[in-house]
Amino acid sequence: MKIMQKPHLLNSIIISFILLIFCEMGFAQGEATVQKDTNPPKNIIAKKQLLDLTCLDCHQSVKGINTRAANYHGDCETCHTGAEEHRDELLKGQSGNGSIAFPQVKECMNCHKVDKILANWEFSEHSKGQAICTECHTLHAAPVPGKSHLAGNKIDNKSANCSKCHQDVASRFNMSSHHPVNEGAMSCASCHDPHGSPRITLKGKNDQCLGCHQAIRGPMVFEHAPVVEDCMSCHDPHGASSRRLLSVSQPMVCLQCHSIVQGKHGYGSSEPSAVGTRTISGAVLRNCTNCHSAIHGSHQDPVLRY
Amino acid sequence: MSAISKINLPILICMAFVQNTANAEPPSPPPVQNQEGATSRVIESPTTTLAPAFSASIVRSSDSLKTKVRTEPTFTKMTGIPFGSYLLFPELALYLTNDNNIYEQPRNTSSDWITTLSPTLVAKSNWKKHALDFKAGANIDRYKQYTNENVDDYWLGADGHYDVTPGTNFFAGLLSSRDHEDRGSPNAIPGIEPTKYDTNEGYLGIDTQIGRVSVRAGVTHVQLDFHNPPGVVSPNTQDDRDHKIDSVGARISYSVTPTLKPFIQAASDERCYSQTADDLGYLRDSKGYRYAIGASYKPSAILEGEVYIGRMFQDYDDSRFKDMNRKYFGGELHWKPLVGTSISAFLDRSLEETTLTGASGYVDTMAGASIERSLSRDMLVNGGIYQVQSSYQGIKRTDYVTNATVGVKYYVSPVVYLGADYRLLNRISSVQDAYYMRNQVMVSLGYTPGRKRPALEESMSPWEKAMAAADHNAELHGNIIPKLIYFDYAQGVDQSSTNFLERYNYLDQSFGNNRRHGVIADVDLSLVYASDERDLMVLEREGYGENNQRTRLRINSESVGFNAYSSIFQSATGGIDFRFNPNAVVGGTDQNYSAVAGNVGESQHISQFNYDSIDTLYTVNRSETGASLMFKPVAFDKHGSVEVRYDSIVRAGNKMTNYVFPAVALSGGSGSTARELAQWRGYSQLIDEQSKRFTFNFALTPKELFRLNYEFSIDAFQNFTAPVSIATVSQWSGIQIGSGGGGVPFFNTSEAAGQPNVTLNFVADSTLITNSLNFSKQFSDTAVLSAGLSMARLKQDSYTSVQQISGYDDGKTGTDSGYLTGKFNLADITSIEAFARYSKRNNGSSYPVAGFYDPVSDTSYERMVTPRINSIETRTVGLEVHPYQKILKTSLTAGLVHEDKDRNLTYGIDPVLVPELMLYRDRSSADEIYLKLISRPAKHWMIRLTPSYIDSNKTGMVTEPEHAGQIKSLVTYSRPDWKELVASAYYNYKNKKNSLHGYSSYDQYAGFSEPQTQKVNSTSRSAGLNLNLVPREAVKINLGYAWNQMDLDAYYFTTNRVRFHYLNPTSATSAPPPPGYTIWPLDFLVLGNPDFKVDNHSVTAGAEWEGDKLILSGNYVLNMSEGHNADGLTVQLPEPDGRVDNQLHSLSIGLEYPTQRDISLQAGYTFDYYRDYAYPAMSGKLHTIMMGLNFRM
Repeated sequence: MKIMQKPHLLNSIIISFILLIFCEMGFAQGEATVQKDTNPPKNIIAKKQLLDLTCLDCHQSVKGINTRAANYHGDCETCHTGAEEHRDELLKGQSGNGSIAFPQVKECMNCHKVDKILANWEFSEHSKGQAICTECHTLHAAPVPGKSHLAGNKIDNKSANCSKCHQDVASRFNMSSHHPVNEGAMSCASCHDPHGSPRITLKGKNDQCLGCHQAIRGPMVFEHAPVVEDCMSCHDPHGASSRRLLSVSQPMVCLQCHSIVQGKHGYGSSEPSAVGTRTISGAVLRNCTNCHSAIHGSHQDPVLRY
Repeated sequence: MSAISKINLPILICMAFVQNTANAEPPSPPPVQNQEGATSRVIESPTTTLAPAFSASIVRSSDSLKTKVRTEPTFTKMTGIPFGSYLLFPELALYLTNDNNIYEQPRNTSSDWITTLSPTLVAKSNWKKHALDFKAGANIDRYKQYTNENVDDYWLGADGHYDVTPGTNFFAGLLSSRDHEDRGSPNAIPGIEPTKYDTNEGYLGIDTQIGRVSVRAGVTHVQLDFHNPPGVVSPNTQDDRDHKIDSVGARISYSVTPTLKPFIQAASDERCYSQTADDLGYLRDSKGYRYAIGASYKPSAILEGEVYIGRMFQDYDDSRFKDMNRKYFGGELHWKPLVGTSISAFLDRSLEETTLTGASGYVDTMAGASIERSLSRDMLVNGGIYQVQSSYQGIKRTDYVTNATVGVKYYVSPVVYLGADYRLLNRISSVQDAYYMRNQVMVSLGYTPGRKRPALEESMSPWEKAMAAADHNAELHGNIIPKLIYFDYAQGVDQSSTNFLERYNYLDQSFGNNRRHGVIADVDLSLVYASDERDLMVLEREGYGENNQRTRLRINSESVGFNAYSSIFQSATGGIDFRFNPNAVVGGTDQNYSAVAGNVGESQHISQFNYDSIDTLYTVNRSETGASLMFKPVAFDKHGSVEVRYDSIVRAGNKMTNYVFPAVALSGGSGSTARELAQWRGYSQLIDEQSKRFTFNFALTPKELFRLNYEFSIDAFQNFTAPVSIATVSQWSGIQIGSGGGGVPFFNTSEAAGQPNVTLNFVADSTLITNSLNFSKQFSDTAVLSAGLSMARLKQDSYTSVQQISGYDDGKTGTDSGYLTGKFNLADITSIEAFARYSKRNNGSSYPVAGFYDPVSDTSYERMVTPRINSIETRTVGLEVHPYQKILKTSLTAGLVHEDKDRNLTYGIDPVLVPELMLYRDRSSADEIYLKLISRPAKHWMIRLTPSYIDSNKTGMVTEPEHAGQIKSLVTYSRPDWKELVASAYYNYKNKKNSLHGYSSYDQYAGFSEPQTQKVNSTSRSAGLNLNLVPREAVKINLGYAWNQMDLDAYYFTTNRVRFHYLNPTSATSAPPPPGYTIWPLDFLVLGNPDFKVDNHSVTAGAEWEGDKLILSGNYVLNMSEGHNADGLTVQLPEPDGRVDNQLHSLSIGLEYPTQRDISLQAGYTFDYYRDYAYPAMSGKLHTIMMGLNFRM
């Protein structure tokens, strides 16, 4: 069999930097005119003017969001305590940065504690990891769609947000076998509750998987034990180098638990005295499910062939 | 539709009269599709009329499972049309309904469109004293296709009261109706038309109050006359169902306080059938009585309810019927938490009539809840769900019927409305083929001249008033992007084979229908309306052709949220596997694949793989649709929320499926070799399945005292593909059943008689019902408690013919789980969290089943070579300490978890399979200790470290760790003040080992070889670097590198005999056993220590630049895998199976350039390139070019 020549990894890295250069070329075209966050113009606005300013007069946009038009959360001081001191400091010609408060979980909970999805926030993994609401949620505008996907990026906004912190998990979605998150067909939140924890969920290990893969939920007459107990005995749901999200490809994933009867799977008869003298066929070893296709359980065959 | 008598009528008479006379607004219920699809309106039946007002939302018939839900438009302001001393309430409604299962069949359902005309008229007396009201109406159903189902139902009635004194009145009522019976009713006879029946009923009673004591007493008479539908002839007629019921009853109440009234009630009835014996000879006349004690409670005008409990008895004339003696109970709750919002809940039990063979009757236990909400003066929404358990007396049958509805009604003028309703009906049953799932979607147009539009302040919800009063800001903006996508698979396999790059990108639906290249048209859409009152409407669509698109609609206000979505995604994810099937690569199955030359014996079939389908394009199309309606906490003054949700998943396509003919089943042919080479086959199996899930969620947060959340869901899965049997595959492959000739192998039915009927890869219909309850309570800042309980029941709804013949008729599992968690803050120094979890999965399926599921026999379908998992019980307890560390801004968590698993396994009957012959064990016991460290040691720096260790002394499978060490680490450096820099690096390591499992000596045979221990050693590592930067104001850059490695080694065992052969001394073996043995012992031998080790590298680079006009973006991803699979096997796997070596490049470039003020040009180019060095045939390229125009609104 002819083996193709591989390009070096360096080639790929070079391509990456070509992209960077491509971006640098754009620098010469001048500064962008996108709307910037408008900090209080303390150097050019007289005190008299400041006295009449409301929050929105200065903060017309926050992170590119037009706060005047889409002031989704209404009153600024509900979340930003110290706004009055902030303004007073500005009047005194100070920066005003020291008095204004940015909302922590507690401020959000003042209003949202009755939301059912937050009923167990105290026990959630994100809470224990000291995550705060604003790390994931945009507060200054309604939760509306993001930009168009110019560069072929079909991932949904939620999942893109998750991948900022969970980079190790995100990397698995680049593997040749993965759940189609990057393709936009599903989201991290399709399986994970960002406000919960496995300890306070009433779903079993497999329930998340079987919520979509109902065809294998059974009940089966002949069950396959690891399928009943934990899908992740064999699969890595985020991504794998092996086909069908197998953490370890066939036949290794099967051979951990199963011995193979030589007489049925290789060359030679099933003479019991012949143990150790026969060879298992490579054709068998390449893919156990070529015969045992009902690997998730069967309604009729105890050895899961159909 | 007329109701059939209920056993508690007299009691209901006593309970209901006052409410009925006090109700000045006539009902306007939506129509209900009966099982045969007929649309019939729920009418004011005697049962309904006599029921307490707060139970009148649900009506059932007695001997059919009719699903009648009446939702009275509480907030529809009905003033009536004066006519003398009467007020008239006319209504004319036209309904158009799509019903997907008009016969309520388990499969092969029939759908149709039904048009229903429904005129009604209610005349209410407008007198100061006394009352005499009249009502009449009809439902005229016309089916588009199944015209035999057309029905004309009608009803006519009157009721009133005569007031003797202010505290005493006589009341009476009459009602006559024509109705039809549901097709799916257990009593239904399959006539050409539905069974129709007439009901005539009347009641008379007195209601009086003496001091604190009030008494209501009355009598009822109900008579039912069933008509034989055309096509039904004697002896199976409907005449034997004709009967009458006479009842007498009373309730005595005592007002302890103005709000609390305990009561006692009793009633008796006599049920007489017109025929002495029914068509099957049963004497169905009976007498019964029931009593109860209870209390009603009405603390305010917005809340009322009652509960009662007692017993009920029924004596039957027929000695074959066992007298009935059951608990009797019921309850009601009616709550109007806000203006425009009404919530009702109920619980009820009653005895109903049936003529099923052997059954005296059935006990219905019903529970449900409904909600109605006025969103504005002109818009009403409602939702509800109830479930009935029908337990048949004397026979083994229990049915569960679920009825869930959601609807909206909008008045386009004060007297004309448009409506839309969705209803889900589902029945699961303990008997075969009684399951059904039915969906009804209906739209309606109604005319109600007696209605007056409510004044603004009368019906507006708080948020609506606020909306009307506010001078709020709002904005509407959006984009619409029509676009064309050109694609070209520049390399790779031909049109008849699935490409690797099609695994998540199936672009086969283009103009010209060319799979290799073509043009796809699509449109992206984004429309957003948002106001500073938090009103939000978002409509968004993203499409990449017919096979990859998604649309979502969200409408949100402070108090109500509505979501709907639809998505389609087509992939060949599993279809790629076919490329690795035998014959897909040179040498894939022939003898040269193995190191051994020549193939003999039983395994010769491995030498040849036979495709029975020329279709090698494998694809699965997955469509998801759903909608949810949520009444948010604001709608209930933050005391709770209610949500109803519907989700549907449809999967259609095909997949490669393999099958091996049993060697014993093939005969003929030109010798054994020809037969064996015909054994191994593969075919394209159709996929056509659907899952429908309905969810109801109710949350309660009264004054923030606690949080209670209840969720009910029912998920029905149906497989629509025709079963593929061995006979079918034989037909495809040219192998005749029963005989053969001409040197062609044939299926010898004398050797394997039942096998041709065996269904291959059968996918059963199933229903999953889940109930879960969560409770949490915050105790100031000192403690938080949370607890939950869940019950899930999964039931098989369809069976293979072999299962049915064998007697396997009950496939079901149940899972119960719960948890209790508490977190306690100790003096601002530390917090402790303790938790316990429990779950138990029970397998309640038929077992053992003679002739099908026998662990002893060596005959096909009667052997069992793996243990049966009867139940798995998991118990987990843990403690976590979280000391507050203010030094270095460090947070530390330490935890300890202990988990036990107990498996109840049946290995078999003597001679047994024993655990020693396999690696699966019945117990697991593990301890885990872990730390979680999050530290910010210096400005801009964050470190996260989470080491853990697991130690187990028992494991159930080798995939569970005996010892496992893990560490996850992450370092982040962020400088938002300097080019918004975020740089991070991570390293994760996990090693798990297990050597607790082995094939031990089997003491029955001294000669059994030495114990063999499996040793599994698995290590996974990952590391990565990421950089995000904004070097210039309009430029964003991200770079990333990730490495993942999986390394696993384990022993590879062979054994000398198949377990079921080993258990059967008579099974085929010619060699005599060793001296001293009657059969050969089962020996295991290590054949190697294979190792799987694959490294995966991923490089990502992305950038975006936003200039004055032009926006440019680019993205590049490289993923490469290298390694080996099962290195160290005695048979070294040749490529492509033994070596993993591939690269996947994906480069995308996009731009947006404004051509006019609100129009811009968008373009994108994507290049995907997959190169497989171990399996070059899998390599391929894909170019995709997109051009679109972005119109901004």
